[in-house]
Amino acid sequence: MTTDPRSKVVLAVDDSPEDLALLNAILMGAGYAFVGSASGEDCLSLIHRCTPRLILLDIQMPGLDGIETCRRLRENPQLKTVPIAFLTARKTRGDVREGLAAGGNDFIAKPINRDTLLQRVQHWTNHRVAVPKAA
Amino acid sequence: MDFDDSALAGLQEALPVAEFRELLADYLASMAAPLSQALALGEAGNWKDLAFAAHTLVSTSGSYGLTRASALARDLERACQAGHGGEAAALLPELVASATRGAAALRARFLGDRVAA
Repeated sequence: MTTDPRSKVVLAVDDSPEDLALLNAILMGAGYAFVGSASGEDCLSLIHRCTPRLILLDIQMPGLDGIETCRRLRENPQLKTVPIAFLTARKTRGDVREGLAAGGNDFIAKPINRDTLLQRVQHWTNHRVAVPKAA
Repeated sequence: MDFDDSALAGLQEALPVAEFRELLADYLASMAAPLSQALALGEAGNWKDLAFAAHTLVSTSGSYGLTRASALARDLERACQAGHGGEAAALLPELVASATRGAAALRARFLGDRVAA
C-alpha cells in the first residue's frame, strides 16, 4: 500500500467555490491530487473519467444533494470500494443515519478545519471500503 | 471573536506565500455577494432560501476564520427553518457587521492591509 499522497486523487463536491478553493489549497498543499466539482450532477459526469481514492461530498447543494449523489455513486460498480465522506455543516442524527444508509462512510464537520480534514483524508485514502455482501 | 487567525495558520505554513495570499484575496473579493444576497432574501421575507444561503455562510465564513459570523449564520439558519422571521431579521445586520469586521481583521493579519477606522 502506497503512502505517497501524490498518487492519491481526492474528489470534492461542493457548491461553494470558496470552500472548493480552500479544499484545493489544503489538499494540494499536503501533496494530494485534487479534483473539484461544483454539483452532484457534475460529479456523476466527471466520475466516468477519473476514479478517485476518496470522495468528499457536501450534503446541502442545489439540484442533486449530497445524499442522492452518494446513492448514485454507489450504484457504479467501480466505486463500491471508494470511501465517501460527507463534508458538511449538517450533522444531525437523521443526517448521519441517512448518509450512512446512502453508502457514505464518514462525516467530517464544516467549517473546514485543516488538521481534522487531513487526518480523515489520510485515513480514508489508505483504506478501501468493504463491498457489502449480497443477501 | 470576529476573526480567529488560528483557522488559517496551518495553511499559511503549508502554502507558498503568493498562493496563500491569492486564496484569501479571492475569498475577500467574493464574500460581499452572498451577504448582499442574504440581506435581499431577508428583506423579501424569503426564509426558505435565506436558510439555504445562511447554511453556506456557516461553512465558508467559519472555514476562513470568521468564527462569529459563522455562529451567527448558524443561528440565522435555525431561525429561518423555524419560521422566526423577526429573529432572522434581527440577526442579519449583526451577521453582516461581524463578517465585515472579520474580513478587515483577516486582511490586516494576513495581507498586511490596515483595518479601516
